[in-house]
This record gives sequence, structure tokens and C-alpha cells, in this order.
Amino acid sequence: MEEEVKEVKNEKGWGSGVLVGLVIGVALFMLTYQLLLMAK
Amino acid sequence: MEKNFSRRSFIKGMAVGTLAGYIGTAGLSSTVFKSQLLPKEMLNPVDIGQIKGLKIKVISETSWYDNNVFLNDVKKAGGLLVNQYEIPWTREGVKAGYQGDNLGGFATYIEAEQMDGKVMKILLDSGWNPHWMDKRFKEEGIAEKLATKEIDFQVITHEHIDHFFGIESTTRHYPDIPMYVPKGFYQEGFDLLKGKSFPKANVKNDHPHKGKITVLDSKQVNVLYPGIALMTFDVPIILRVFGEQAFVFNVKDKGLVLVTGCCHQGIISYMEEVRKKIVGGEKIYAVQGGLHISPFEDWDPQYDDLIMAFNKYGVQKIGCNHCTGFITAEKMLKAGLPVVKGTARHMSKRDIYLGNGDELVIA
Repeated sequence: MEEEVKEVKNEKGWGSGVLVGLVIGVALFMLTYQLLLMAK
Repeated sequence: MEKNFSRRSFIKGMAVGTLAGYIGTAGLSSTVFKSQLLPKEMLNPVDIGQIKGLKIKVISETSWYDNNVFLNDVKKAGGLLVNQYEIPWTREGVKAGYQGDNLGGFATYIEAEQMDGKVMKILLDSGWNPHWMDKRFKEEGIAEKLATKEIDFQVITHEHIDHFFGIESTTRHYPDIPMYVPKGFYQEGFDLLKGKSFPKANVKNDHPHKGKITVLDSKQVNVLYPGIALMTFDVPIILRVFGEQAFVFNVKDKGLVLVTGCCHQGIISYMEEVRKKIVGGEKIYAVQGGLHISPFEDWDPQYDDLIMAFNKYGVQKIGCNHCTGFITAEKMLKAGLPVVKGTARHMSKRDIYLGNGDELVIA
């Protein structure tokens, strides 16, 4: 029972991870786009 | 940091977020924000304007006279990727050649009548062997038109030997002729224009060019005058050359006329680009010049597909020559394509080409 509670508590990192990931994803795309423009 | 914060969950979340962020931004930028991000002409084709009529005269389409001698020169130098300025080209003892010289050259003279009646006179390329080009320029009145500065400008389609090495045939008459070259021209090319010689390749220019040189790139359709545009292609070409450009004219009541040097960009790619980027691109009326399909008279079944593909563009006149290949011209005729025949004069070998001294008039 004690372990189950621990599992649920561990899920807390997800939300922040997704938020940081979104920022990285957008930045990565913009970087790729700029690089492609420069290469052209 | 919170006591129960899991590093593993955070990383998992970050991976999902990064993927979603990347795909999401790509999706938004290609749809909602498309108009802000893409260059105008990729969104809307360019209207290049119109001209009243066009005359295209082939000055020389015979670049060399014996394919085997030419290929042997290339082979001895190390193959098709060797720098053209480093190859000792055969200049004598060739039976089929002009005065024993294997070299000829490519040049075309164009008159484009604008809507207000003014006629723009254009020289496309300058051949290879200056003796041959001087003779042809004299015979067709080009030398005189250059000397009197009647010709408005010269376009060098690409840096290849047979289109560019005979530059002194132009500059001896008109050293300050305005010139357009494609992006990708090597330093050797600019040096040759300035008068440098390349003894190994047997090429020289005793009449340095002193006029304005404009380098055109492939980022946009380059409209030079109403109805007259150049499209540049970033293509790597054999003998260490890069970049080629070709003309698009828009003739009133007829449609677009494409005039090429060698068309290393590929004739189908060229027509596709024209369709996409130029207003009226769906109506290509005529194609003239080298189409670069079987220049060494070899044949591959994929070229049959290419000829079949030609059919869908509805071109009404094809004045092919130079690097097109006689086999290609024959197959085009068999396929019912409207190949305009020439007269096989001035050392042009067969009338299946629009040859030296022949003219295509569109008005």
C-alpha cells in the first residue's frame, strides 16, 4: 500500500517536463527553420 | 525542489513536450502562419509581364565535332569530375573538326520585341573556339551588332567550356557589354573574363571584359525586362561547374517560351519550376535550345519516360539542338512531339536539329 502511494507521488514531474519540452520543441523547430533558410 | 518530484517522470514529460512542440510549431507555421513565413513568390507565382514577339537565331549549336575525341580528352584527364580549366583539349588533327580543330561552341542571338515596340537584343553565351565563333559572329552580323553596341546585354547560361571559353569573341567587339552570370561561377571564370589565360586548357582572353557583371541567384525569378526573365538553378554540373540559368519569355497571345543553353537542371524540372513560379506557367508554348537528354547519343529506357512526360505540357514548338541528342530528337518526332526542323547548314550535322543559322520566330 505504501508503495502505491509512492508511485502516484512520482507522477508529479510530468507536467513540468511537458512544459519545458514544449519550449524546447518550439525552439528546435525555429532553429531548424532558420538553418534551412540559411542553407537555401 | 519538491520531495517526491521524479526525475524520470520529468524527462519522460520533456520528451513528449519536445515532440509535441516541434510537430505543433511545424503544423502551425505551414498552415496558419504560412503567409508570414514563406517568400512571396512561393505563395504566388510571379507575373513577368509580356512581349509582343520573339526571334531566336541559332548562331552555333555545334560545341565540338567529334564526340570520341572530346570524351577521350576528358577520360585522359581523369574523368567527368575533373576541373575543365585543367584539361588539355584537342585543338588540331580532327577530321570532322573546323579546320582540324575539334572545338566549336554554343551561342544564340535573341530579339524580343516589347509591347512599346522597342526590340531588346540579347546574346546568349559566347561559344568555345574563338576562330569558329568569330566566323559565325561575322556571318550572322553579330560582330557588327556588338561593335555598335546594338546588343543590350549578354547572358552566360553556365560556365561550361563550350558556352563560355570563347568569351573573347564577344569582348573583342564590345568589352563593356553588360553581362549576367549564374551564382556558382568559379573564380577562374571571373579571372578569364578579366583577361587571364589558362594554357593547360588552351583558353585565353586577350580582350578583358570591362562592363558590369550581375550574378543572379535561384532565390527568385529574375525579371530583367517586362516579359523577359531568367531562372537560375543550383545544379552541380560535370567538369566542376555549378549553376545554370535559362530564359523565360512571355509572348502575348502565345504563351511562355523557354530558351536554354544546356538545361542541366533537366527539362522536366525546368518546366515544373516555370509552372509553379510564373504566371501563365501552365501554358508553355515553345522550348528552344539544348535539352541535355542524350548528348553522347547513348540511350536509357528512362529517357523514353521523359519523352512521354513531355507530352503532358502541351508544348507547341520544340526547337532542340546542341546537347539534346539526335536519338532524342528522333524519338520525340516518333512520339508526335512538334519538333521544329532546321536546315543542317554551317556544320550542323542533321536537319532534325534547329541548327546553325536557323531561326525560330514566335509572334
